[in-house]
Amino acid sequence: MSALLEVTGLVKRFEQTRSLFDQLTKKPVKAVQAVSGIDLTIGANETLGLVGESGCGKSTVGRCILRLETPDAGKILFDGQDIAKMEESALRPLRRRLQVVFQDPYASLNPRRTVGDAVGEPLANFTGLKGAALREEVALLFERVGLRRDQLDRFPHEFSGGQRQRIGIARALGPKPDLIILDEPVSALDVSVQAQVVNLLMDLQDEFGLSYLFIAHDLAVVRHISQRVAVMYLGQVVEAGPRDIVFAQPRHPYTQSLLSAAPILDAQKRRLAKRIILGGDLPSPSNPPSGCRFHTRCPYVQPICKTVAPPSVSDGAGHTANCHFPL
Amino acid sequence: MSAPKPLLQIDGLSVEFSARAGSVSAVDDISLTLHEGEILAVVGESGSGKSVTALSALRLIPDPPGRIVAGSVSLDGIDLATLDEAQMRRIRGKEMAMIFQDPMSSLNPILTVGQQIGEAISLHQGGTKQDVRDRILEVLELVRIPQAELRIDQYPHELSGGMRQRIMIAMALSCNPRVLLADEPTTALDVTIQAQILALLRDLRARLGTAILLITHDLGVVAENADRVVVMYGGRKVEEGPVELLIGAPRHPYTRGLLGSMPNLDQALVPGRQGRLTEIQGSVPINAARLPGCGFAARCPFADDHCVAVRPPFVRVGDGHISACWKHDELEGIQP
Repeated sequence: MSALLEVTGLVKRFEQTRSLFDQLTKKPVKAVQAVSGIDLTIGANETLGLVGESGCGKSTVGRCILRLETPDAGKILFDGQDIAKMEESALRPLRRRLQVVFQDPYASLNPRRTVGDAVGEPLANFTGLKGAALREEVALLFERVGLRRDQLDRFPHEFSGGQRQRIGIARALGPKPDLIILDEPVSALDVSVQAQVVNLLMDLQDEFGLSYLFIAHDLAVVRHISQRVAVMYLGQVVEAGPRDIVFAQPRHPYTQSLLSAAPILDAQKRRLAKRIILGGDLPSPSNPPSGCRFHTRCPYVQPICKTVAPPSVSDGAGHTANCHFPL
Repeated sequence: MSAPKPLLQIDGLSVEFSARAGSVSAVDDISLTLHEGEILAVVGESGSGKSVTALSALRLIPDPPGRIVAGSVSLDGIDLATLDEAQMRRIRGKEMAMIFQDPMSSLNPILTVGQQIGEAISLHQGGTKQDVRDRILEVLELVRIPQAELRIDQYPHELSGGMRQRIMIAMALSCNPRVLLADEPTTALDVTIQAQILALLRDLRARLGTAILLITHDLGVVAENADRVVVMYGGRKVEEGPVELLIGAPRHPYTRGLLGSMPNLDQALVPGRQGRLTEIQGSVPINAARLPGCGFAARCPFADDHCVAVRPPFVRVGDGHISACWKHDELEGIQP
């Protein structure tokens, strides 16, 4: 399987604005390192689930791959070309192949434009379609995602959350992309509607051979939709591997505690489950802990964890964990 | 254990909201009972009327546009409708307190944590400044806020999301209420923090005997925390029962659909391949409670003409387990 996307050593810092006084006195710039050197690979027609809690940098990774942010270091090979530092003009033709669906279907559609326009714009931009041909193409997209063609001239407020997310998916699908970044695409939806959208995404993937980067905090949804998963904590990937292995035998204590914190429906399984409730909150990314970044909350912490960054331990079959004492 | 005493009783409650295009029935004929020391979950999707039910219990529905058109709410046998506003104020926060969903927008950004928690304490209990401060520190420790002495003088923006939610809980607990109405208390939180907050709520119930009405859309949260469950759909109650029966053997197609549409971590998946989730077709109709028949009929795989035409009554399907469905028999023994 050749990789469609290969990210290596990705770093993204956000600098805090300094007051004029601080600038004049040459006070050092304070920076938050949102992403601190991560590696990811996505194969053709594959879904990589990127999991982590809020503030761990998972959305920033998505925005760097889309080049909505320019990374500070690292490579982003998309179909063999490094787009990490690519000029906007060179990037433009590649943008067609890289699309995105955002989390909030209310905020990501312009309330003053018809939904047909919203879906038609990227399509017209990348394909040059116009007039009736464009409209027909948009209508077909609407039907493909489970909307009706007579809804084209309506405005976003006339649609429910689930329908809006379908519109967002149609918009991303229009330019016939290879990779879609799905940034928490179902977390704002009700459970019953969430199931519809997850099923739709899986159908579209089969039909068009799409690759997905599925960014989410909901482990059950990620497990359902992904072939491989990467778990992020404070700007770093702490564990990655094939879905079935990571969920069945997590090797990083953070993955293990995330899994054990998720509620279990079955009463019998719940009684048998070993629960780890993590203490404390996520430390601030502007001042991450030394050594292993998880050491402040890790139930198995040892002295070495506080000073030395853990190595990446691999099982040789694509399952890696960054831990001194992998489980 | 002797039969627990009913504490909060909602009986036949109906709430309407007037809109330009006529009125909308947000809650229709809801009855529920919260017993002493019990955690009762109210489950439903957005628009099902679960938050309106809780707000009505505290008489916090803005009127207009909202209006309680029928039913009664009583606390410990006292009908709250007979109380005037001044008496009601003595109930709110003292006897019955609410934890709101979004701690970011429910906390005042320009008051310190201590000022916000202290307001209810000085109002209901009075005492010197020092008494109030001592009590604030006590509740901050109760909800396990580390370094309470430092946090008491901080502003909401200085705290993390999990910490803010704990401040909300501390505020609700400040006057030792007997009933806690928790409206999606963990929805805005990450899973590891959610586990902390829910453990805290269970612990408070065990130590203080607080009865909790837990409003949520997450059946996983329900399964782990509730004693009994009320399922709402389109403003009406559709099923009610003890948690193990309702989750293990649901007898309403909507509850069953909700369980099926949830991807589940302990469900077996074919290695390397993804299964499909069970969808509930369509979406909640507007004013479902005004339909002549069952509000769920249009989306229900079991529905027939009779379901569309005639509203199903509640039928007892098990011990303390009721379902409003004509087809409850067909669901018996089918795993969700």
